[in-house]
Amino acid sequence: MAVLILKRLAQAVLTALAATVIVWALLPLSPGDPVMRILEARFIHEPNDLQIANLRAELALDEPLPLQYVQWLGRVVQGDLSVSYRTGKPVLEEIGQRLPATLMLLGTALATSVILALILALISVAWRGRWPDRVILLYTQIGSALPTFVFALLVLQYVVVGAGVGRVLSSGTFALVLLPALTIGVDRAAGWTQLLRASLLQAMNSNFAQVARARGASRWFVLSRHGLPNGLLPFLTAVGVSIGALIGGAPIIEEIFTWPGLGRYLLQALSARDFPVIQGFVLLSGLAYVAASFLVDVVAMLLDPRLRSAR
Amino acid sequence: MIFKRLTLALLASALAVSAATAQSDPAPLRIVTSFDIGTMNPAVDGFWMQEFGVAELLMKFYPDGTNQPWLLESLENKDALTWVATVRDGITFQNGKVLDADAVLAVIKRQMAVSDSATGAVPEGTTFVKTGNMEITISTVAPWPELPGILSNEAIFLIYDAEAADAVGDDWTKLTNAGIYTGPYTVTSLTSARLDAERNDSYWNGEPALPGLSVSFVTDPNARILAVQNDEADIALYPPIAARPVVDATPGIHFNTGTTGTGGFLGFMNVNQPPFDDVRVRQALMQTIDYDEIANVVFGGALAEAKGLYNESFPWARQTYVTDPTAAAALLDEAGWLLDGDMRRKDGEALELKVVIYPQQPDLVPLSGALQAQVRKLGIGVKIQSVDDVYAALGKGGVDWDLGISSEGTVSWGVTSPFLTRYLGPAGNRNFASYANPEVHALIAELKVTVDTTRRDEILGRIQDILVSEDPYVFAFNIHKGRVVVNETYAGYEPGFALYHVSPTTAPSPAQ
Repeated sequence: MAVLILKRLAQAVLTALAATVIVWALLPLSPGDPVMRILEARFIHEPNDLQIANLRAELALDEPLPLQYVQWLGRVVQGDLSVSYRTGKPVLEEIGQRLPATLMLLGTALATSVILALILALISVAWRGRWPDRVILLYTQIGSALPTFVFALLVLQYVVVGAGVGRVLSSGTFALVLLPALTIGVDRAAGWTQLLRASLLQAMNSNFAQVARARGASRWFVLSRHGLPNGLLPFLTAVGVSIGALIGGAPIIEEIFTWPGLGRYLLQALSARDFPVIQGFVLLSGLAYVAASFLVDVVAMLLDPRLRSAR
Repeated sequence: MIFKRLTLALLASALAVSAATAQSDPAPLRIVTSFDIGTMNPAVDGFWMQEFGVAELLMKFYPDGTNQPWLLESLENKDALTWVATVRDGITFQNGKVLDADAVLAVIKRQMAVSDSATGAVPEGTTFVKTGNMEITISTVAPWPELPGILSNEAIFLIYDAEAADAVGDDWTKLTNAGIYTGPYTVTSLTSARLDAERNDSYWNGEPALPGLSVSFVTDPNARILAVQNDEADIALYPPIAARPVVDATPGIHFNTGTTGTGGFLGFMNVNQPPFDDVRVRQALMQTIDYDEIANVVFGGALAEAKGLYNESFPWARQTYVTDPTAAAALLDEAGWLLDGDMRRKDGEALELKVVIYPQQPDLVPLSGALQAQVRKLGIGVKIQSVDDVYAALGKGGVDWDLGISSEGTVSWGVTSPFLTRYLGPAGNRNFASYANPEVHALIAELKVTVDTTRRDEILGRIQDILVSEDPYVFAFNIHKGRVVVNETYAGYEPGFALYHVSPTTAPSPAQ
């Protein structure tokens, strides 16, 4: 078991390293001279030769690309994500200031969506073919088809402004996290409910579930004791894999709900082509994805002994 | 018993006074804007402060195109190489320190040391010398006609307590509540989401009308409008024009436009390749465009009609634009672009313009659509390409383009030469098509050192004439106007000219 976990960890580290190459390449491979882009972002529209040369030396842009990457990685490992072109402040510091609000939102959204998907999938399977199942299926289809930002705009227009629930201008406090978190959670739970429902149905149709039912076990007992543990693995994997998408999609929702997290900071960075900030965010979400995948793998191995022997 | 009655009477009168005060004092103004104020560093983020009534400048730019003294009593041009600036008497910073020649010189010295904008704006060899307690003499090597505009520019010499700014090192948070500016409102708090300010009771120019204000930073324009609609804000800055019909149809909120400003959506014609290498085709395009329709029909009056390159209120502005499709058609015929069916062709090639726009300005979509419809009537096709970075696309190694459209300011707080130098000058880094008209280049050079206002207006007039009748290259589709969405309380609020959003007199509108 320990060897398997170490093997997975090594794979995760390699994946993270590959991600850093792509993240780093954002700067040198993007069109135009990065020095001019930086100076432009600092409102120096007509830089003199000295300003250009100084910045080029500061960024070590005259070094060969592999060396530039190694130097960049060395700085990243030490927690130096460079300085924002736009604000002139260390990227790590700026991300650190906004990260708690984003984590609060994403954590609440993740918890909401996982709990919602679990409850709805269990209800759907328990009452398969009856009206609760049909209503839930309709929700999952609408939820899967509707982009989260459209849902968010509708919530803002009709729930906040129309019904007077919540506020347009968020303060980033826990009191106001529920609405944006629910928006993400309800939307995200739709797909997960579909997936878990299918897994549960498959488990409920298996021989062991039929034997349990033949022995007189109740529907809920079979579902919770046999169906859920067996149907949970694909669901967990989907949740783990979606972490990256959740982080990547959060900026738009934060923007719509004026949530003071990383969203606005990232969107402004994108608009100003503030590459260190973009690199920092992509690196963060990439590493979060790799870490989540690793954890899901470990949990899956703990839950399912077959996975331990198969690997 | 008497004591009890007296106490009750005092209490009642105190309550009455407090109620009267509460009635007369409006609630703090709540503004929501798209840009955030990063820090309290006056050299980097200070320019926002003058927009919201916190900071002030030595001079101020007015809608008639003139620069007038603000914190200065006067600014006189003694001779070609000497200016004398006299600081207004009786002004203090919000922290109580007196504003005098020393305080102003300290800001100038500090800005020259820490701000690239200041270093770039001041010609080499210029000296600022104290010649009196309230007087500074500015000596230059060559004439510096743009000094009044430079002193009005929020990004160059904003007036703040330089000594206090130096004292905090890099910990800019210490400048919150430090009262380093002279404006009617003092910053009490600045976070990544919001700025709060309260009334400066010792303000030099009368009592500020509001007890305070807050400025929230919200990038999403829809959220800004909804914040006003949901009574969480009074004024939303920078609403997209496309939102106007929705705002007009929503009770309780209003879409207000302001005085005509200093820039517009500009079209740059690629003079290096057909069809715009032929001056007649450039002239024809400018005469085909219906500027009135763009401003007043397509954008419903939210933009001002371009009658020339500049805001028509400015003394140097020439009203040179004419819409004359018949004359345009004749010019195209003369240039060999003849109608063949519904398209104009020359040597078998259709006259189709490759037009470049960019998504950061959503208003360019209806604008380019209108252009497409207007020129189609004359048999000219338009192929629109939206690019991520318009400057990179129009520059060397960019896309193949005939007409690039971007939103630009043509006058910077009264200063005209930077736009001309940068976009039309021989070494201008945004002279996209390497426009090379020797007379225009000579006129720009002359403009930079000409102090005489009459001659300056003549120079600018001649440049405008050349850009229409002799060698067109850049033209304005419109002139921008400030625009805001406001609630009923601020229904009468007019968007500030040159980004002056809050003044000491900004207050709720009188009840209708």
